[in-house]
Amino acid sequence: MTTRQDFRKLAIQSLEIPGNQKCFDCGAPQPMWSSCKLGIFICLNCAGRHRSYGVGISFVRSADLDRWSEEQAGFALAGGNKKFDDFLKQKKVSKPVQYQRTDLESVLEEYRQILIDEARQPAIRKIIENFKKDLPVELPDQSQSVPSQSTHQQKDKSEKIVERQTEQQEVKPKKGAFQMAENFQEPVEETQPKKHIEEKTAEKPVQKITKKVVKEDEEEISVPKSTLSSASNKGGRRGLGKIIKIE
Amino acid sequence: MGSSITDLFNKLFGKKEVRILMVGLDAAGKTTILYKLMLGEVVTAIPTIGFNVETVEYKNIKFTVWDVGGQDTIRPLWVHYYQNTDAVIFVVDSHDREPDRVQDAREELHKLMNEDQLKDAALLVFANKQDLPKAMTLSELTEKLNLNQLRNRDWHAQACCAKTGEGLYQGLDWLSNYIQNKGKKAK
Repeated sequence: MTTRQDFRKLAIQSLEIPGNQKCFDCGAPQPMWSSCKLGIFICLNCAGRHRSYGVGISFVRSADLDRWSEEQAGFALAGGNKKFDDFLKQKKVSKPVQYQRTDLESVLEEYRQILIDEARQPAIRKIIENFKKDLPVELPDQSQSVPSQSTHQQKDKSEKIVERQTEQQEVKPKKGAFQMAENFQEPVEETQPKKHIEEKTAEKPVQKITKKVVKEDEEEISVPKSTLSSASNKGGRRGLGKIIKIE
Repeated sequence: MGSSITDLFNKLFGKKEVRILMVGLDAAGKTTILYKLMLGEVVTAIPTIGFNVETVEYKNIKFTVWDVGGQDTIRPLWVHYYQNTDAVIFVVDSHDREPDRVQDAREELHKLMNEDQLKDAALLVFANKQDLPKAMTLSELTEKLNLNQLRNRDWHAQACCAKTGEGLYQGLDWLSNYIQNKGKKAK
């Protein structure tokens, strides 16, 4: 449509931020949707639920099927599932988050403000500016959760991310389809590529944290028998999944 | 000759079949509208990747409604559904006042209306989600979508709420009237 730059690649890259590998709401692996004003990543089913809240509460974007604005990409880079989770713990809000509840309005608004501020920080701005200039970009340093890294290592990391990103983009449609097809029943196949990524990261000091995250996640996987949509949608997706599996 | 008699018979007594294309931006409520019309129930729709198609019978007309996903990058696929479309239902989230989104909706709508394959299709605009606070009114949306600029087009805008079903059948009323009258004109 109108010539607005698409920052989708930054959103996809934000999926690498520790904590973003599981749906914020239900823990399903490899979420490809985002409630972008909260900077969190969620699965297809939870995306459906979020959309029913109205855009004032949750504005949902797909990491691979939607165009992303500069502002939205900033939220994705500045935020993350872990960050929002930490914030909610601090506010003593327990999961599952009742996004619609009016007593949570101020809490959610406060977090949105935090994200707006953090998306203006030089580190995030630099990523976005680099992206605009078509320069390689590196993920934000999650200073609170990840031990600081030397410049050399960071450079090393950024190269890897770029490499990994291109890799991911090729596989992308498949990933989406898997997610649709699985309906959470066969998580085994889904976790495979993620492990692969973790092994790659394992060479760096992030190792300890990554492990911890995995451990937490294992405890948290309480996969809900999700409220699900229409029969035809389901059927179509299952069919799609099969075709792709054969490939 | 034989077939034309059958055609005439069907025209007079048979059920009319109408092909409807339902499009709009993502999260406008297309799938929810479709299943509300078909089942009378509110489903928690997940984002449509691809399409849903269902038939809805109303006033002796069989509406085949194609509900196509509205995510940004899959909108170019709408073109594959244009052929033989009798009417377009364009769904708008009236609650979403974000200027960029309203602009997107307007541009998508006018692009659609400039398509040669859709030049004879009627247009029904559903201003959905009227139950949400600060939803844009019908007149506000008519203006923001530049509906009055449409030329050579039978169009109707209808405020509605897919959750309660309010307004949906009024929209279909307009469509069925339009189709009946169109049949008369053709004769």
